[in-house]
Amino acid sequence: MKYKILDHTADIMFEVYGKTLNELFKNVAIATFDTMVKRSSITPKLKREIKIENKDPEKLLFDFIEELIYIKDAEYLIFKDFTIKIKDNKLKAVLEGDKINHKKQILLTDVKAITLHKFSLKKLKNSYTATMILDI
Amino acid sequence: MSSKERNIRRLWGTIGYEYNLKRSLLASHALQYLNYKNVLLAEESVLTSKSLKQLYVTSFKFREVQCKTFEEFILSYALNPVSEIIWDEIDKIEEIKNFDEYVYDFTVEHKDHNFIANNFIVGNCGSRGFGHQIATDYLKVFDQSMKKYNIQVNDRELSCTPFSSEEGQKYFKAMACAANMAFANRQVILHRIREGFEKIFNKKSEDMEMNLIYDVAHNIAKVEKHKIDGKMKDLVVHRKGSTRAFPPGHEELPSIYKKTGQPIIIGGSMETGSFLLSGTEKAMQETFGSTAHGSGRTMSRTQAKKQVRGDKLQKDMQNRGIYVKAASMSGLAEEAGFAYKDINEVVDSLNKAGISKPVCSFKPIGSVKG
Repeated sequence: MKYKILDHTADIMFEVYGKTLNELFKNVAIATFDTMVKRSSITPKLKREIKIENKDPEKLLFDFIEELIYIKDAEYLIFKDFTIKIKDNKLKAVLEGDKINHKKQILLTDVKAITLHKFSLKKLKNSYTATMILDI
Repeated sequence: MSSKERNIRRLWGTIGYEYNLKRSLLASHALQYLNYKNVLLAEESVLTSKSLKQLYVTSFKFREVQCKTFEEFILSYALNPVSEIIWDEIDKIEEIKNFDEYVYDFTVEHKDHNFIANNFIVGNCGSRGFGHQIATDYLKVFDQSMKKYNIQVNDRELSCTPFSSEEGQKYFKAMACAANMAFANRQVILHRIREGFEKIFNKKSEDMEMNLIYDVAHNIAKVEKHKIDGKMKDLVVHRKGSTRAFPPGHEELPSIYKKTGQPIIIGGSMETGSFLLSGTEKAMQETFGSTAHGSGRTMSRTQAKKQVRGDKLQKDMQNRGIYVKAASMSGLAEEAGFAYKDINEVVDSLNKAGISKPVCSFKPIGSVKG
């Protein structure tokens, strides 16, 4: 399982899983864009690369989600596939997607922001898990 | 076409001449004229003991009771023949018990509305991602300044900084930018709504009187004066999930709302509609001049989606006379009425608490979910 939706009255809350940090970040991106669009309706037409650095993995994850939402709002892009590489506090991600077009894609709920409320990243024995609330 | 009275009444009274204003007015007058003649006939029938049928076949010219000509009637009853208003005299006034229908207030003094057959468009949208980005940016700044000023909070989303600090003042300015963006955003939305109405009704929005009546930024921090322990103090009031409810006469209200108090729009679900309330003195004393701004959810979006399908909800609402357009059917299901608190109870509790006073409710006839 990539992620689970938890019950939240006003916004949307996720518990996201990953065997590795790379996988966790990827699944977080998937959960974020699954909220906004039926991902299978996106035909990837362009690639967008992002690089972020933060010593704290939890803050790195927060910055990453923030960047995804920012790109969606500022550049009007949505993504279907994600390739993530995290090494020495540095994240490099390649996002594949297209310009937002409601005639081409099945759009769902617009995500306004990621919030710090109940936000966490935990390292378990052999895996990682993150909890996040998206403001919609 | 048959010229029987029943037929003519249907044509003038029900079908009308919507395509031609002049003819439509004339039809209203003619209908009123028919009523007037019927009253005369009834009076004469009692007076002369002749049946209505007998009287009906004889022209007024040859009868005792005098009847105005149509032209005279228009002048006397309508005062101005091109007016849409038809004047009549009040016969009697009596009290109706257990009345449970619409009440129209003919005395509202406002150039844009009179509460008769009026339609309102209510919207709720702010600075969207822009405002949130500012908040996210400053969450990080405040994360540092909280250490600097030795402030602790139990939820990181509530991170803060002293208002007078450099960080605080910078944030306040950025927040004001977001508020301006929200005002601009709503102007664009209003413009698009007008365009839509113009296209469908083939009329200018000015002719449909699509004026902006009220626009407020509520989810925002404001510097205000409030009484604390008997002393006036400058405070920063942030209204998250609430809105300002200043009482009549408050110095910060614009002149047109000085008498009424601040307008408050309480948004309900798309099925139950919204309410208009006004601010009170008690809100000033007890809630820093604040009140609720919506009925609020009681059920999560995922839960709502489990309980109803969007297309079924759309059909149900249509049967109740509420037209719904939604970007997606699952998005529509999230907004189902049962996922929200009962707005009547919300408004009732605000009224009982005295922090705002109900003015009128809006019954929904259409709803759009983006």
